Amino acid sequence: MTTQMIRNFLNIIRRNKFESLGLLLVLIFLIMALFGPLFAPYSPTALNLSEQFQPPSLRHWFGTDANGRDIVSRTIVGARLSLTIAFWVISVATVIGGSLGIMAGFWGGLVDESVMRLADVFLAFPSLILAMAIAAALGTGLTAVCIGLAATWWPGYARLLRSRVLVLRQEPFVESARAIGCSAWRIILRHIIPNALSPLIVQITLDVGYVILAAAGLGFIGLGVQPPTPEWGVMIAAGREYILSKWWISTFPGVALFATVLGFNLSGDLLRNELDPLTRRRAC
Amino acid sequence: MVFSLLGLLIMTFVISHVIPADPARMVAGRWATEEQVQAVRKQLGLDKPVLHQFAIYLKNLLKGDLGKSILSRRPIIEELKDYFPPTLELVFFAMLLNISLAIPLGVISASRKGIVDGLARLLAVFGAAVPTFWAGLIMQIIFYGILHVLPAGGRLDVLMTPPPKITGMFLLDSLITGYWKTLADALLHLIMPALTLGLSFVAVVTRITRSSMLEVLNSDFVKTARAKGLPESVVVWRHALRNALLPSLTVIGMQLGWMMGGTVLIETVFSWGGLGFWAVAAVRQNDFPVIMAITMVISLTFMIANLLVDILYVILDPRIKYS
Repeated sequence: MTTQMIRNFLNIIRRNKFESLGLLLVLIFLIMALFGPLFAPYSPTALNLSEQFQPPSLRHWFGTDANGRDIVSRTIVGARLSLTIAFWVISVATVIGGSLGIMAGFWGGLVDESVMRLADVFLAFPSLILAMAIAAALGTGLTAVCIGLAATWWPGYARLLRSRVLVLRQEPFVESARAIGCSAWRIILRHIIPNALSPLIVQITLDVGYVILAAAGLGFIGLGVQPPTPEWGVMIAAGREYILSKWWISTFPGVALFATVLGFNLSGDLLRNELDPLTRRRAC
Repeated sequence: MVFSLLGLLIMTFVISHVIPADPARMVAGRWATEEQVQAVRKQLGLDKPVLHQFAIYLKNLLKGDLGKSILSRRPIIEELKDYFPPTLELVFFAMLLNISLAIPLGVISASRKGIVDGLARLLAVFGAAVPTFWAGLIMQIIFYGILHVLPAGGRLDVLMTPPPKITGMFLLDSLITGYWKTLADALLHLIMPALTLGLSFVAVVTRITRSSMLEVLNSDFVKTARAKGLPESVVVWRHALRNALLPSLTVIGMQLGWMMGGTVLIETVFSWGGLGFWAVAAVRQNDFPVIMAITMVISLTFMIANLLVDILYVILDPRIKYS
């Protein structure tokens, strides 16, 4: 890394002081997700009935749950599951939604009409409800939740890329590529996709947070991974019965979830400010 | 509208008939006998071509036959009569409460910078990221556990007699029948769930109102209004706000869907016996027919609400015309 790169990075931070908090939160989340099991102080799943319902202390910073499991360890290890879900959901949604959107924008006509109508049908459902129904139809498990969430997320990517393609198609460089006889695939891969990347990256960053939030919501209502697997939504649900007397069981996984979603939101805003000044949130 | 309705029906059909490995088993329940499963298979026409199955599905819907709950063995349509009004009441109240918080907040934040503006912008950032179901639990700790100012959950105090059932919405029923004490108690029980349900709603609507107000406040007609000496409050609240409302309205329509979906999370937190509460119970017990019926009802409500928003557009902005 050159000093120039470091200086650029510091400048970005200086321009987005508040949003930089998001980068820090995302960094903490990624460290937890990638290396969490290495430094979690206790086993996240082993039962220890002699230590159930311990309030936060020096030994257990976040206390223990109904089965005596250490909540710090469970919260740290839970990050990996959230990241896994977000990774699969967004990959599938971007690939499917993105290619449909590009095709719709590029070829227009009947392709455009049918893809966008299909997207509208998916958008007619409140997202959480659609994900719930699909996941329930597929049975419990992580795959069911990922498919349910991907099904509700792809229309966003289809719309985003379609609108980008519609703009780019009019650009002189695309027209000249067409004029010298480039194939449709070449135009899409070499000229359109690279120019559509900035808004896509911003969208993906924001969506990682929202997918994690939605997945935790599904876990909270009992879809997806089942206890004892440490998942933030499941952990929050597990503390609900004792919320007034044993507040720590639900509170700490919730703080982790909140901080993670906030981190990705702020990072998305930062990226938008830097990469995509035209669509920057006006005056906000 | 016709198209979206058809799309919605096709989607729910696909989810219930095509996706599951054995739809009849899903509808009959995990513990159903082989004969029961066969009976369901026949009733749904699962041995027939898909299009024929869809026709049967539509016919059953038109008859109001949403199937039977695996758990209670009662027709779902009967149970809906108990579970739908509470949700409608909650969402409607939450809309009113949160609109009346978000729009003034957005207006003040745009017209008078300072502390309010800073707070509104913080709220916009945090409100969009907070897990609502967790926030509900935290509110219970604070307002019930520590401050003792609001009830923890439920729709009425256990000692309170519910008003005679007319609509099933306690607020409306007690208002009609003059049960004033019940009305006050029902209102108290609504505050926390409604605020929780509206967290992201307030965040988004405040932000949009603020930015569209900022834009309108810079436009020529506002300068004219100021130049002819109108008091600032009239300029802001009458002239500018009316023209800044349209973008907010779009978001309100979209956020309504989010709110309807959010009831699934919030009603469980506050033991609010509506659709969402029922949905979670159904998920936990694998009561698939109920899950599908709730999906349909919530999505239909969302669709109708969006239609109403479209109509409101025309009323608010005479320039918009639908062909």
